[in-house]
Amino acid sequence: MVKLKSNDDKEFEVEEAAVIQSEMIKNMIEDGCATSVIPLPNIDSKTLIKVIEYLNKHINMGKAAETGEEDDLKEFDEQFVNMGWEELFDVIMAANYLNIHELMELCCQSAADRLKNKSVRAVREMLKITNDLTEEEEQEIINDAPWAFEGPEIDDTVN
Amino acid sequence: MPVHFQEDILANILCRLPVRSLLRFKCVSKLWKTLIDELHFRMTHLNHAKNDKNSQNFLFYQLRPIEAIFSIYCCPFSSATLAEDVPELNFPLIVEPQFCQVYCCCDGLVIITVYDNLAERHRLLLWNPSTRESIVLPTPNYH
Repeated sequence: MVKLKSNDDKEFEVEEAAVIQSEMIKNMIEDGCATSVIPLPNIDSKTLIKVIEYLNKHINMGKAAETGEEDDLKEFDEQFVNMGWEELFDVIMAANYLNIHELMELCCQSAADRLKNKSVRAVREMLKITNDLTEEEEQEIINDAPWAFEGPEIDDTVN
Repeated sequence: MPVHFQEDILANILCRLPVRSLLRFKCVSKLWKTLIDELHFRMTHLNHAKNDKNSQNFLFYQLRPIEAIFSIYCCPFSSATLAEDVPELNFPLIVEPQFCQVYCCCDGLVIITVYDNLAERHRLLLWNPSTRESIVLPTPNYH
């Protein structure tokens, strides 16, 4: 078992087979740096619980194909990313820090799917981005490809 | 969190979006515009699209000889899209297309000939149907 500690000082025990899906921790273990608790100063306990849930479900990914658990895993993934924006971003940050490739793929794809049809205004609001372009700069971008700004699928809602 | 780190993650998300969304999202902020315009990002986007069957499209054209009308369409490879829902593409150049021939496609770029009514001559174009950008290529001389 490997012990992980979140930035709010909570400790979690995770099976080595699960935790080595994190390239970062795998390297630490291989280098003999994981003898005691591994502190994760960038990850809070709420996010770490989500990440561990994912790691535990995805142990022995290769075996899933053999045992026909692929659909089960797919369903889990769909449910897993069914979370709010802020939570999703926390998991993306954690997956990036821990270097868990599959989790990064899953969460970034989910973020992209949510953004795909959004209007510019909706994206700014969803991601709390302040517009720092001048009106002229903005108009120039629109004039370059007006067709990208029009269409029935463009969604101005924030969610 | 350092900015470059976040930019990395942002690029990872944005490289999964269709070109149409990206052209719109250049308007989100200066950072987004700079990132989307970057050559490196474009290459990442292209590589991602190549490996993602949802990003692949058919390009095909239709001739209605009686009306002498050419139409060109772009259709996703993956889903069963109804024929009437397939978007018709605008032709590159503002011409009433009476002739068009696609020569070859590579990495989403197309070499196409269209007949330019105004100049009364054929034009050879390098065309990116996703961004709808095109440039006129010099017409080769055949001997």
